[in-house]
Amino acid sequence: MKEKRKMTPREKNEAIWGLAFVAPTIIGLIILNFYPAINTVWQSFCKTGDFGKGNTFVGIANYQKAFADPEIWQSLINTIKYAIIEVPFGVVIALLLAVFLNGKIKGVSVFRTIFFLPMVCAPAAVAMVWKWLYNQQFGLFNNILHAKIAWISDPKIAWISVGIIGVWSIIGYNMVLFISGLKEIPGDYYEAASIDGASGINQFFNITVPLLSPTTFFIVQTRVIGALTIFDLMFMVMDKTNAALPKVQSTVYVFYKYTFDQGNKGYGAAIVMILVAFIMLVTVIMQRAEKRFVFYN
Amino acid sequence: MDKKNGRFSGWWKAEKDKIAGIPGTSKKIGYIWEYYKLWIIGIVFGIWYITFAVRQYTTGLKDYWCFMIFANTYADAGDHSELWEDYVGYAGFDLTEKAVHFDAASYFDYLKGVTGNSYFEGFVAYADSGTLDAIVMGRDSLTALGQTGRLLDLNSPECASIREKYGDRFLYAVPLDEEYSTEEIPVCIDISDSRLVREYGIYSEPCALGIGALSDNVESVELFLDFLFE
Amino acid sequence: MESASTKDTIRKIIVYIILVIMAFIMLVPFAWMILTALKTNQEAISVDPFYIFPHSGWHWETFGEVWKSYNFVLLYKNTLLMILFRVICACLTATMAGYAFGRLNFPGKNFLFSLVLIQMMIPSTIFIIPQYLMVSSLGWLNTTAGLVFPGIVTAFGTYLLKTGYQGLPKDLEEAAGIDGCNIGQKFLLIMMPLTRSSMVSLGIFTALFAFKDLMWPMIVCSSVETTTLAAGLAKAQGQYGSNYPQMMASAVLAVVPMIVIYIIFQKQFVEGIATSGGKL
Repeated sequence: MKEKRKMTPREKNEAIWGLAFVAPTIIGLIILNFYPAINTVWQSFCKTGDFGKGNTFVGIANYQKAFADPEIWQSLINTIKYAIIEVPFGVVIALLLAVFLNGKIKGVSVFRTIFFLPMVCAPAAVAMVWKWLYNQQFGLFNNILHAKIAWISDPKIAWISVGIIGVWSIIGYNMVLFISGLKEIPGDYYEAASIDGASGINQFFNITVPLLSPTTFFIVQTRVIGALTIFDLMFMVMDKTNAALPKVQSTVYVFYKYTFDQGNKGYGAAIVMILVAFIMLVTVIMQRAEKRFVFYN
Repeated sequence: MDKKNGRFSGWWKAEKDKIAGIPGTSKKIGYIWEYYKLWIIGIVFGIWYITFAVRQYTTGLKDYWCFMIFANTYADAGDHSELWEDYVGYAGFDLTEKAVHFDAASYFDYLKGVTGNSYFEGFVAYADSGTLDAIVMGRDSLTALGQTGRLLDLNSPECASIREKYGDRFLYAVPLDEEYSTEEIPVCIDISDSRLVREYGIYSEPCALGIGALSDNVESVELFLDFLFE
Repeated sequence: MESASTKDTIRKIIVYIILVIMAFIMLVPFAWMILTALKTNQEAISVDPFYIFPHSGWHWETFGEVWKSYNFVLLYKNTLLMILFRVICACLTATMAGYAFGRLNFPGKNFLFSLVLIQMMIPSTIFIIPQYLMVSSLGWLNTTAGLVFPGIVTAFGTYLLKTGYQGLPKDLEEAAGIDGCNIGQKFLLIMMPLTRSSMVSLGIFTALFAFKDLMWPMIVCSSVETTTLAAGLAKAQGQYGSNYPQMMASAVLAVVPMIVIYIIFQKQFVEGIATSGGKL
């Protein structure tokens, strides 16, 4: 398999072009991202410089502490639970909307603009609205349901409530990507199918879904990564004193708590490393699956 | 596409011939723009960016005499405020060499929780990068902030002369990090009765000053304290 | 025929109903922003949940006050410059790298692509302090160059464009290869125009992320004259404390150019490839 052979001039030419094309991106990533990341790796083996004292090497002590800490494990479970809500619902709803909006419908651009609005809204406004919707006494949801549900302070349902906000805020994002993917499907496929008498739903499953699979895979992959590194939703609607917080806080939230709030950078770095290792594992599995489920023409 | 040659020179010749064959200057420019607009934009911006970057690199100020945050105040304590001018005058800094920056747009209270507060994130970035020289805020909040280790331990040798002059004003906190110390250590200096409050009215509540843990300009902070208690 | 067209109409109506309901859900916070801006502060912080509309008249003057109290023109200028540069940088570097990853073979391809993926997995906050130190040692603090700095390359965009290029039919390139184009020409003249809609969505997202980014401009451009809208408003918001109408009015004013940019960009989708157009 790994037999070394000389490249033909043609292959060599291609290799040179390829390396030249990726060079700016890779050099940029190394300077901007990987150098800081390696710094963090180093930090995770250190007790960081409190009170101007400087770093001291402590080996794997931070990792030992993190692995023994139930808070970290719980936060990983919380993060996974969040991803399980956000990714499938966010993707499916966005796909349906994108397909609707790709058809010949009046007011398409108005709808597209409206669905984009959540992404440009001020986070403060978003937080205020959702807090109001979820409010136990005055909230719209409880008023409609005639119930007294503690949407964001009951540990059993708070993770769902936060997941719903996540889905809501990500739909427009996924939709833009789906629309651009749909635009790259040649129209003659649909024409041929129409002549054959295929119904709309048939067309959707036989043409749109397979031909859109590269875009879908891309969205799922980036959203899985995005959901596993989620952070801002938690502090947006939940106070520090919220009883449900331990059952909702994500791993990055815990990282924040240690690194920023408490200044324990070594421990925070170790938490990030554990999270990144976990995401890498998920990504490797997904990249394997790509070959089976994704259709490239 | 040109069939003669795949190389750059061949492409160049073919394009030149093609452009020469197009009648009218505006059409020529139109053709070039149509086919090469991305590259033209890219190159123009690239050159602009690089010249700008190099010029900035050679002329821009890269260091501070003193970088201070005045948190949780609505009074004018930013750059070129009265306080800033008086301090720069008092210390006699040469502003063409290094800058003096007073940041008075920062609002966070460690006692009330700071998760996701972008002002606090800014403070952390300045403190952890060693930019921050000192921070002034309400006495209790600052003492609480001192637990995190982002303020200098005033027992450390760098602040020997500050300790000598202002040791009686030190405020103490127990570090969150138990390995560092389980005893109280001095983390900030009470400046409630200084000119900052009396003359400039920057704060109305009791306030204190803490030194950034990684600050290189402890002398500038000392000058600031001298200036406050002049 | 008759029944088919009725079915079509019914389907259309269902689609419209779904779209309108979704649009309503998506509009709520934005409408909330505008309505809050038009209230008095008293009304804005009222606990009554159905106090949706302002009672004491519509306070349009808040917008005027906010407009006067910030230097919006300057903030818009800084923000648009940053967005422009980031979009150009991101599109150029990502389209090249995406093409190479998607269509070319070269040694180390999988390893280099895994670097791109790993970048997306790391919480971006850990990059900020080292990047700040770089910008500060370059003397770029309080400049547009400093604002643009972390956005010169984009892992997300590279991956997006790679997906775009992979989706294109294989035979395209072979036809061009016979024509005697070299790889650079093939890329520039044949492949790049076909991924236009991927580039447009990259442009939208780059602009969006740049626009929403708060922490970086806040740290790098600490003076109000050089910072961006998001950071400039955040910096000044402390002045208003908890004056919600003014906060929301400034947020609305900040968002308007972003919406305009989006509308301009998404028009490009429609013009993208005229042949497409599926239906459900």
